[in-house]
Amino acid sequence: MSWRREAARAAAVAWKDLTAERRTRANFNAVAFLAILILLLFGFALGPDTEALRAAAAGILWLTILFSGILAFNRSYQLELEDGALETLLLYPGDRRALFLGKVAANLVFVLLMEALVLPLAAVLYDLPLLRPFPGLAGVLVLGTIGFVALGTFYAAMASRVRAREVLLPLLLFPMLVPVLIAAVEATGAMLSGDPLREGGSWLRLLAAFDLIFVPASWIAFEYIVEE
Amino acid sequence: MTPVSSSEFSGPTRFARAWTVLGWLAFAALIGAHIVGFAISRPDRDMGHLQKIMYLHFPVALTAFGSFAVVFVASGLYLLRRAEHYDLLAASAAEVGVVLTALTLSLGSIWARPTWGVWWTWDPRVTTTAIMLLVYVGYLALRAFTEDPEQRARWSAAVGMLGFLNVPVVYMSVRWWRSIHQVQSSPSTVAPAYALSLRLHFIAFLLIFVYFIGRRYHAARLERAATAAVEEAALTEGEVHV
Amino acid sequence: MSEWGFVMAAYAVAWTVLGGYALYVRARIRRARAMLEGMGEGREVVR
Repeated sequence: MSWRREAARAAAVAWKDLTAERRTRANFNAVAFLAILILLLFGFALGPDTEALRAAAAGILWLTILFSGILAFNRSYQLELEDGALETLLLYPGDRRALFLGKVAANLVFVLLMEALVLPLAAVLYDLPLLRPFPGLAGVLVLGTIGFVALGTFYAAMASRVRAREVLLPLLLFPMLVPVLIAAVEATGAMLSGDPLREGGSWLRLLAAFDLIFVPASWIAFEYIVEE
Repeated sequence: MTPVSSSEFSGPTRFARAWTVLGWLAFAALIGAHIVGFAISRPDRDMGHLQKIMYLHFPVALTAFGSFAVVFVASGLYLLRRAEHYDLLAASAAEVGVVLTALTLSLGSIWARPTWGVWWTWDPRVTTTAIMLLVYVGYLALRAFTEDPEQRARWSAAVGMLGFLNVPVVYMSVRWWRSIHQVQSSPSTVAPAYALSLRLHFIAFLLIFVYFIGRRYHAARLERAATAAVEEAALTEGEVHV
Repeated sequence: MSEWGFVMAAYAVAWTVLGGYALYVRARIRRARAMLEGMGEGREVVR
């Protein structure tokens, strides 16, 4: 099957997921609200000293993204599960790859939108500079989220189809995300403090390397997951 | 995927007896290694008697890692050949690996407390070992919740391979992380003198490793044959009570 | 706790885990074998 056809299929899947989401907005609202709540809770748990909060901000930000973003992944398979639509989506060989890419794209948009909300709020709550570090921060957020979403979409393809899915997905996903968490928090921290030691670049490279390994790996592995 | 035929397992075979002998041999070898270790009982220059914990910790850590390497290879073979026994081998190795990894972490903790005063450090090796444990506990949990055997085999294989792939990545990330923060480097635990005792312990644990995976695999094959027999009987004869 | 205490604890933990797992695997084999043998003979079939 030609690349163009596969890309079109992927785009169709992504579009379907995003429009379904746009109509109800139930998922996004839930995820966004949870993220805001988590940010506040961290404030209560670690504050009220603004110095301490600012020092912990990078870690708080990424934990918030992980804990709320993970909700998006099982839900993204809900439509297919309810209608039994998974089989019809997989008629042609290239369909599995296209399905994975489409879902990753849709989930990526979803989580990035949530981050667009969370970042300014965190800046307000923890007194963080946003304007100067913004390009660097955007880079960290995008690279980190790509790894997060690719692996999340992959593991959710399985977790969403078994009992105890709410427990199984974090159990499978979070150990795999440890390098992303470390690198993203370090890079974010570096960006927020003006990167005095010029380390931000190295962490960004680690994130990029992680993405280069695990996006293709999960893409290939996905074929084996949705075989019927 | 053809199920294992139950006629293969009618009663203990010579093969099974060989495994029992291996088991006894392995544990005898371990006791022998202990005796040598305690007989040559000079306290180590740096670590005193605590060095003797390393005779256990180091080989167990290696066999734990070896188990997960077996999971990786068996999973790959399953995805290529689609023969059920590769899946059962992978699952057996994963279970053995989880047990040995938990033991590794426990022994490491027991050693660390009197040595460094803490039960835990965020040292790259320790942290990576803990992550590896979580990855394969997740692997076992996934298997527990997946009912269809073929789907379970496929899914576990993918998860087992991806998880192993992450081990070096985690290790490097944590090592870098620690060095960035210029955390006091933990005093070296490795490179204990390659004494006779350590070598003997390695041999004993290698035997134990082979024994555990072999027996666990045998149990898995038997159970699979039994389940298949029940299903087949239920199909041909109606309900069956054993 | 003296050094020897920790050493003894380590060896005790190791043997408990190793011995325990060996027994566990043997029990599983025994149980599975029994189930298989049960399949061969005394079955009560309900139609």
